[in-house]
Amino acid sequence: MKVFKSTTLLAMGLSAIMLFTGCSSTSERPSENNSKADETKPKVVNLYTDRHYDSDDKLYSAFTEETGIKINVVKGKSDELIERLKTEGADTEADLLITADVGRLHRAKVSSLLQPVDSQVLKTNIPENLRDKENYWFGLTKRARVIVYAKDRVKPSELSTYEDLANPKWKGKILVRGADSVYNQSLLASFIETMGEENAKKWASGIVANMARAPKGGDRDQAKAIAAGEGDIAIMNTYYFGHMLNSSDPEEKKAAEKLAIFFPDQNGTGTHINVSGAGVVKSAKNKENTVKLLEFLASEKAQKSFAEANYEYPVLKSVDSSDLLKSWGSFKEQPISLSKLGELNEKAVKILNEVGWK
Amino acid sequence: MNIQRKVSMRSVLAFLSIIIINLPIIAIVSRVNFSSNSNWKHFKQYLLPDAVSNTLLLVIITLLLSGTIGVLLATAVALFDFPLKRFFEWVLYIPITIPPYIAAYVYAGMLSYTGVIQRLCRDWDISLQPQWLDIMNIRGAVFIYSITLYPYIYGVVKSFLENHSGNFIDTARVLGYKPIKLFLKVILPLIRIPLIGGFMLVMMEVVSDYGVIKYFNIQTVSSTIFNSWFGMGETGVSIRLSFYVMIFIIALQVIEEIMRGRKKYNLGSGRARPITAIKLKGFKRYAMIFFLILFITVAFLIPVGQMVVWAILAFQKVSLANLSQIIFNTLLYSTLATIIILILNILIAHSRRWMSTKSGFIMSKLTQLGYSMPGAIIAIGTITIFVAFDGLLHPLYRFFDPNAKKLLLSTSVTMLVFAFVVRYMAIGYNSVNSAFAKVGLKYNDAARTLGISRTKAMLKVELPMLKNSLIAGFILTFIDILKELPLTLLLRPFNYNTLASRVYEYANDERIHEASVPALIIIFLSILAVILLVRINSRKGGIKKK
Repeated sequence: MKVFKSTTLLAMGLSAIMLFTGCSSTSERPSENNSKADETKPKVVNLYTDRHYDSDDKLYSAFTEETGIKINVVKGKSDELIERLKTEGADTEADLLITADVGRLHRAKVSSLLQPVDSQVLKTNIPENLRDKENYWFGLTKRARVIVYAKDRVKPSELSTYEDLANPKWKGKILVRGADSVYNQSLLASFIETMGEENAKKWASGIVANMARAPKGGDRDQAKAIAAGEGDIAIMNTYYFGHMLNSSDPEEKKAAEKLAIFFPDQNGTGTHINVSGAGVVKSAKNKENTVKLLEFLASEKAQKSFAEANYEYPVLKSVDSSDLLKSWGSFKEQPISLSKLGELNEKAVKILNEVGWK
Repeated sequence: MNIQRKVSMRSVLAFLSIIIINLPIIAIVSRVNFSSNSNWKHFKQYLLPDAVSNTLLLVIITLLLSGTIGVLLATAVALFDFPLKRFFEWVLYIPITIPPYIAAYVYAGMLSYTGVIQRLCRDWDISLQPQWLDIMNIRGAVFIYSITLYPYIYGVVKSFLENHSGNFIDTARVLGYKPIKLFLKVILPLIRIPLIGGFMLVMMEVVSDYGVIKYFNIQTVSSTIFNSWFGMGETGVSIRLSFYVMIFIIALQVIEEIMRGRKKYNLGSGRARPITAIKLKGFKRYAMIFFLILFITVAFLIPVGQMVVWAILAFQKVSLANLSQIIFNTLLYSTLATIIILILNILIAHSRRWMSTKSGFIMSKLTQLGYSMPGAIIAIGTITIFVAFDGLLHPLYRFFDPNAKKLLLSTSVTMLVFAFVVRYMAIGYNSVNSAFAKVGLKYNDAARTLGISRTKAMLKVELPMLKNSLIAGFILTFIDILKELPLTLLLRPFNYNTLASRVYEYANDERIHEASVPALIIIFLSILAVILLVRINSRKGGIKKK
């Protein structure tokens, strides 16, 4: 009986392996005739997004009201959504991928997950440096990664460039989150582009040497740590600061009011910006509707909502930033092509590991 | 001959379900590549040392701390009688309802500059070094894991002590053992087996956790798996690493089995006497109550109280659209997955009893593999399998509907429920298997002499006897799925939200106040489940009554 059982086990195992390999070879077969019934298709856009703001949901409902096109959403982390798109291949139901970082859009593009879109509206509304050269992806909102400092301990005249933060005079003063933050990776990638790999690495190790504490928490936690006096300067994204100033917790507001924003590199290359943006999925089954949605998101109405509800900078020039953003003043932006941030991401991650940026 | 055929049919079913639930793991393992490329070298040089030492440190200290808490609390509740004992007995389960990542956010928030403690100190002009209150480090992570995971240990140890140790403890007491000697010489050796089972669960939770360590920015094996796969797009390193983690956990289990194998613990007849609780008097009584209240305050009241305050502050900013739909979704699919897990576990545990020790052991380990890998990795394996299934089944779909889309299963909730089953089989398995092991074969054999089949004997005789253990397994699994995050995020179909995904959406955006609202609902629902669990458990011992 025992012999019988182990043979059963073996047979089951083998059949499972056969089943599995059989399955995967089937899935690799290119699938055809996916959409035969175009006429009966409901009006939808299927969206994979890494933006989780309630204000975005409101925008989608507004779009549905305007156009009658329903939006179906899967919210997740961009890296995992990209992995899911890869696995689903040509059969995916997703039409549009939205991420909160340009590096991920670039990765989706080079993984052949996106397709180019030829839209006059998008070309006019979105500045050239904020969209892919070949129109595979489009930036929808801008985020600036800036210096935030303690008003009572740092004079703005002492601040100048990102590079200066690596100067030993800031030893034990700098707060910044971990190396796994995509915003830090993109920041470093931009320096690899502007100052070369060697100097970028030197900068990163200078920052590590100047850190007030081991990196931890999110961007807001860095700001709070300045307020607590653990350090004097934080590197963080503007919209988190905006959220703090408008927090439902009066203490958080108070803490944020002790701090101010400084846009670095204004006499040099400019402040680092990143975009959250979108690209149409290569095998989108609802391309026409999807482009409509993209154009809607680049329209004045949507851009205004991005600026006001989430303190992001609109990409559409004619739209004013929110009052809060205006109060911080305008600034000169890093002029580099954002695709570079994606291309250099891996190099940036490796440098961060090598210099011991935890 | 007839018997042999039936035995094999049962095993076939059990093996088949085990193989199906392991398909995602096979999908991942089949991608393991051992060549040493530049990424692997980079990883080995810069990330591996920290990842391994931090993970080991976290696991070992968490096991020590949560083990100490769990064992002490269980012993205290089982051995002594004091006012409000019934109340504390179930309240001590409750911290299991707080997902560790939420506890991490809440404690870090409370201890931060804007948190209540530092604010009060400022108001009262007490100067504090911010470092004193820093919880975002390994020590803090151990604290968070211990207060949220100890109930796994508390639960198994307590029920073991209450149901199986009466004879031993009473004998020792008669022999004049003082409490400390009793604890060291009798209780600790007795509870070794359930304790190790609890340790395994806690260890796997800690090893695969990503929420706490990401926020605290601690480099562990799990964070490295995530960062290299999802951050660098480097699948080679992460797959190889998750494979090693899995092997490591299997190895531990094999070692444990070998060690246990040498000493057969036979608890004699099923008529184990319940423990006689000693009434605490005077000072001791108040000390006990004081410590229990203190503990519950730290592990539950403080974090939940803080969340209530935040939820009130942020209530207006939280979108409650579709809330009832979200709760319904969450409950429906958690329940569905839990029922499937329970049925499969019954099938497996039932047939395990007729197997040789070795194949039974292999089978039980195979049911638990899904729990030893990080959730997101299981998720990727599951998508791979479902897309393949859909490819295979597409002709069938088209047979029914010529326009059928190809990705039918993988765009439905089926995929998510399947992944839940893969991942949480281990949680239910422990209670179901120990229940079946406890009754052994005697009832089944007896029923068979009356001429009914083994399966029928199981359904008619054994299941009713084991009802309590099964329901306990059900509720533990249910709570775990309720809190689940990575699978839901990655595998959900369009427009599908759960409470946990809502928590993530706010927390990921560093809006912890807003996240408190859905988090509190998760905790509330889990508490309802715990109350149910305790009420069932307090209707003592299924076996004895029959």
